Amino acid sequence: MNYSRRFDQSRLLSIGVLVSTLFLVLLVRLARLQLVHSDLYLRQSQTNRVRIIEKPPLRGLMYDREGRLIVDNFPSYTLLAIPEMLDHDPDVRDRLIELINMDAEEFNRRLHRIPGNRYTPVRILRDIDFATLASIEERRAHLPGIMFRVETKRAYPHSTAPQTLGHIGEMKEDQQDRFPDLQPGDIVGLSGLEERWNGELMGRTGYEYVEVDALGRAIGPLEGIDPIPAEAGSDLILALDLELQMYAEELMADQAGAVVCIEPKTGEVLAIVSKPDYPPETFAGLLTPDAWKQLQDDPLTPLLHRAVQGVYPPGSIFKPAVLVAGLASETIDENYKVTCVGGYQLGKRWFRCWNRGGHGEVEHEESISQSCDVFYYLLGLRLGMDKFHDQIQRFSFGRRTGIDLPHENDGLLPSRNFMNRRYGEGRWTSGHLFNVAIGQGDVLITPLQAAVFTSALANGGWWITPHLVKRIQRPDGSEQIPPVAERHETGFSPDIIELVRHDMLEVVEKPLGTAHWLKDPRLQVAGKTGTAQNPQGPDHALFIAFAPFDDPEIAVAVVIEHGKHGSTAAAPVAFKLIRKRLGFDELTWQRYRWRMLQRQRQQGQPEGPIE
Amino acid sequence: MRVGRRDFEWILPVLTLLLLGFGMVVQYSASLSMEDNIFQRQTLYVITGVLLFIGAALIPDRYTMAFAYIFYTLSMLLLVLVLFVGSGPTGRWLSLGAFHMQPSEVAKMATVIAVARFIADRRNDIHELKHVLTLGLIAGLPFVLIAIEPDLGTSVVVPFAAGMVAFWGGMPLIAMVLVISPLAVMIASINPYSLVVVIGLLILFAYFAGIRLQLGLIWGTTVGIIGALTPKIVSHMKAYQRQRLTAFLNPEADPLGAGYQLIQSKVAIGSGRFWGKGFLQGSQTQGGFLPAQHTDFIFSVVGEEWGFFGAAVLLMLFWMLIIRLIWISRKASNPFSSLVIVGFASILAFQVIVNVGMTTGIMPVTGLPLPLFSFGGSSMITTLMMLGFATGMASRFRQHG
Repeated sequence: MNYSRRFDQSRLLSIGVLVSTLFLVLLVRLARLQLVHSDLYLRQSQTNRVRIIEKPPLRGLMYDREGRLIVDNFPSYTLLAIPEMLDHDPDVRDRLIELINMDAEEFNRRLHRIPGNRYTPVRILRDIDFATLASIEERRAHLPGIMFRVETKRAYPHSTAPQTLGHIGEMKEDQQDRFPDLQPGDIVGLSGLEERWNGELMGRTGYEYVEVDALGRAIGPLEGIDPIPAEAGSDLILALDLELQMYAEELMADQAGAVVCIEPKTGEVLAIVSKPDYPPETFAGLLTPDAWKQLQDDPLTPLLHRAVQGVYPPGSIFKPAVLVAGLASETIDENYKVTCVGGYQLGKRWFRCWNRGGHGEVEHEESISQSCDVFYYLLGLRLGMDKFHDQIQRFSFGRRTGIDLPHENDGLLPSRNFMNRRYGEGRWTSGHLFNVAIGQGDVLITPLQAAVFTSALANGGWWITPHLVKRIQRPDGSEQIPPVAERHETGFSPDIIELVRHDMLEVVEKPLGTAHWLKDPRLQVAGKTGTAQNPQGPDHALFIAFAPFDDPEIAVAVVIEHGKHGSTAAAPVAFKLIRKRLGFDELTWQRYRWRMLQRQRQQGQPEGPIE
Repeated sequence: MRVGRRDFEWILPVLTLLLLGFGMVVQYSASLSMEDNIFQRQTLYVITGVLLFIGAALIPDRYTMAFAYIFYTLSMLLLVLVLFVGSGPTGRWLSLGAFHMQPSEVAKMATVIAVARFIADRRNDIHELKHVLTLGLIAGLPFVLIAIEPDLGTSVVVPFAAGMVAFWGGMPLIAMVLVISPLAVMIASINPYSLVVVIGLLILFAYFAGIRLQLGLIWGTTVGIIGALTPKIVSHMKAYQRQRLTAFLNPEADPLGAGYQLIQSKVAIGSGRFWGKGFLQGSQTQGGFLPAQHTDFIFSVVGEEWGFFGAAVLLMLFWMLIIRLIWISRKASNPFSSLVIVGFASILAFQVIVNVGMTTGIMPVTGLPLPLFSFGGSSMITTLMMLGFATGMASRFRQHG
């Protein structure tokens, strides 16, 4: 007893008082539950079965820049089941599996995909067809634990831009990392804008606590607990010009390739097309595994968004960039000349110009307007790998542009390091430099990068991150400008850019320009044709252009796989899109073109386009 | 050592047996609709626990004291081990064949014993800063190890019990605030507002307590770093881990999990009214609508089948047990035993209050079991061992007194 005198006895007392007080609080709480409010709880336990009903939110819509609806919602029925009730009643489960014609293993996976959930209904089958719905509804009394819910699927009033808009579907179990706040089976965006802007479009699921009867049918809301209302998702106002987009898709209808139209001053994407594609309705509701497999295995890869994920050798549309690099690094000045005799002998190999007859004496202007290869062979040789890479990377090449679409490709802009890795140190030669200088060899770009490059030239040396979403419109009416548009400076001197811009104007204006046959007297278009060799077959046709020359409102890049000639296959598409966007009718141009052909025929001049 | 009949501490074993009996009756009802032989296994745990109760009561105090640090070190090693090879549904078990154990349960008991030994050893030094800090480390290590399992609910028991032991051991209030403040800041930093409030309170306290400038600066820096680092660490975790860590603070945000349990638990307890629905008559319990009704939510079964009357009897028995422990700690034969008994009383009190508070909806939903009632071997056995130690310590005093 002696030692404990040294302890402060009052401290023990205060511990005792603290514990006793807390026990008293518990007792009061129990009295409140069991004596004061017991009637409410007793009734809930008698009618029994409290359930949580999920209230799926309405997904946001998408509109074009003029407010025309592009992605809509459409009601559909979803079949749900309560894991606890079906697990205890295998008969019901087997009957249901037979009715909906689903694999038993697949059914069990879906039923138990939310870990720990036993009592909340889970999605079994979305977008159930009417016949199945009716046959289940008839047997409803013998199928406890099963219910339907009206949900929405997507609808596409104009059936346009499938890869860009993207598709929605059920979240898989292994996607928990991508959607940390959601549960397997929730409806999420799985590609395109639906994926990139899922957080904005999706809204928040609401919950309602209800009392249900023995068959799992809701009797009414549970008293004393407030429901959590669902919050609708935000609408997206896109930069797309629906008319231009649909026109571009029409022009590309039977081709493989991509088109990108950008408003240079704002970076807004006016049209973005990837062909071949698929009807967007394919993914609107339920997609059968067979249909999915067919799309995935299609050798024409319709699921690939070629404009942002496809890579191509740029061919001659790369020449303006190489010319800028030469001038900016002071490797050449504006008086630099070469003589083209239709090719160049490097060691044992003859590197030919596309014009086998030769261009004669070529300055920078002819090098662009007539696309002389020899000029760039020699320029490439003078630049060397380091200057080539360091100058050209100031444009948007070799890295993602940052567009608001998922899985963008970086493209490839070779550097010394890359060449050493690819071919071994000292194993690559001037021949490789010749090739990359005319946009062949290892250089790879996405059509989007080509369009961004064109915008940078149109603007005189800067560009804005390309983007599809102009505004986000919340359900309460407030608006938000997404923080994706950022100004990028190339840092090139305005004089150099202006010089190259003029050279590109001559591509159309000069009689010997590679796209002169498309000249429209009503407007000034600057452009550059490209024809890229590829090992898989006929050459790819490319064309970049911006217009009007003095104050560009549109920059276009067109890539047509195996189109053979940039001037004949890709350039007409770009001109048509420019006329469409700037409001010049097509018919007037065709009349003009017809008159020109008449005149040429009378004068005995060669007709048709030249490359 | 011979324990005479008059010297025997019989009130603790009697209260323990009453609670155990009540617990088994409730467990039988709770696990009736379940598979896996829950009741048989629980019976086995109780038998093992009672044997260990007797064993613990027979161990002389000085042996317990001598082995205190070894016991503590071993349990810390187990806690580290469970982080790497943890099994079971929540990854908090260590398994050896068919045998499973939850190291956090053992660690609670071991930490209290170690803290008691530390204070008893250096009875006179408890006012010195370096001893205060060492004490903070002894209690802080198991807290951190259990918290990152993650089992934030269980982890808080350790510093609470250690704090009570130190409080009874005479630690100055200033020193207690000093040691507890990093913990408080760590928990408060989950929410920026609560962090501001806690730090404000600490500054006020430091000002009025007149802490020396040098000490104040070191202390302030430490607390500041902890407050700044914790959110960083938390944000580095994957989002769903983070959610699991903070879900217990706000069950409404998790309507499918904790929120659902809470509603069903309240319906069960409330519908029991005064006399309860009777043994095996609870519709919530027998219908299987109560998740975890045999473990963390077993109090809901008491509430439904035995009513306010049964629940009040349960609370009364626990209250008597805890008050009895506090009472006999005053008369223990040595400071070490006295401190250990207060520590065990604190563990029991904390678990009962938090568990019953949770099932009635006034405390966060944590994974804390109700001692002597919830299904689970580790919890049952350590609880009975703690009560056995206390019984032994109290009995030996009387012989000498």
